[in-house]
Amino acid sequence: MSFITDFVALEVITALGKKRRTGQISRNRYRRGLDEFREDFAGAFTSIDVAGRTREHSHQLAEKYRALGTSAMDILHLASARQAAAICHPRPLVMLCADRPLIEAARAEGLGVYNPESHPQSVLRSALELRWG
Amino acid sequence: METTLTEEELQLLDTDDPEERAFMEKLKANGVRLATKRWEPRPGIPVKQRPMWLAFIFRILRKLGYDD
Repeated sequence: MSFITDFVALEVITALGKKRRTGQISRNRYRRGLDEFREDFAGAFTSIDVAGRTREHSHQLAEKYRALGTSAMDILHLASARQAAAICHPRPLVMLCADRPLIEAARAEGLGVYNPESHPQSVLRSALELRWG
Repeated sequence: METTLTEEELQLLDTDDPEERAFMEKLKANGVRLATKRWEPRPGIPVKQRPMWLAFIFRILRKLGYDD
């Protein structure tokens, strides 16, 4: 089961917009990417509403991890992952991210982390199995 | 058996395992909107040609077992 929040969706949409603005992708590819993502977001992901206490928690995390230089949005993703982990408990939850400061902060928060850009698939399996004991 | 899950959610869950169903109901009770369809790759568009973030998400899904 793959969890997502509105804020992840917002980041995907703005990232696509940046790629279009800087000429990395064509107008057609941009429109197609948006359409496909919106369709998936509406029905193919399990979506979590970011709770008020999660937003408050993100403020604490921003202070705690100021030295890592983690972005505001990534801090919110981290707090959301903590919320999702609490809901899923005792089932395992592994946060998927590719940003180094966020990876370090997530590990420090005790979350399983998987970077699909660099980790082999066996790492994800191990993380899920180890955390499912 | 009574359930708070909709037909769509049950169809996606596709199991009679009471533990699985209880987990999905727990998620729903916590305000989580459950997926109602499986992610399917679009034919004819190689993953490597997708914009970076979409490729990232699709790679995650593939790693999780949603293979082409």
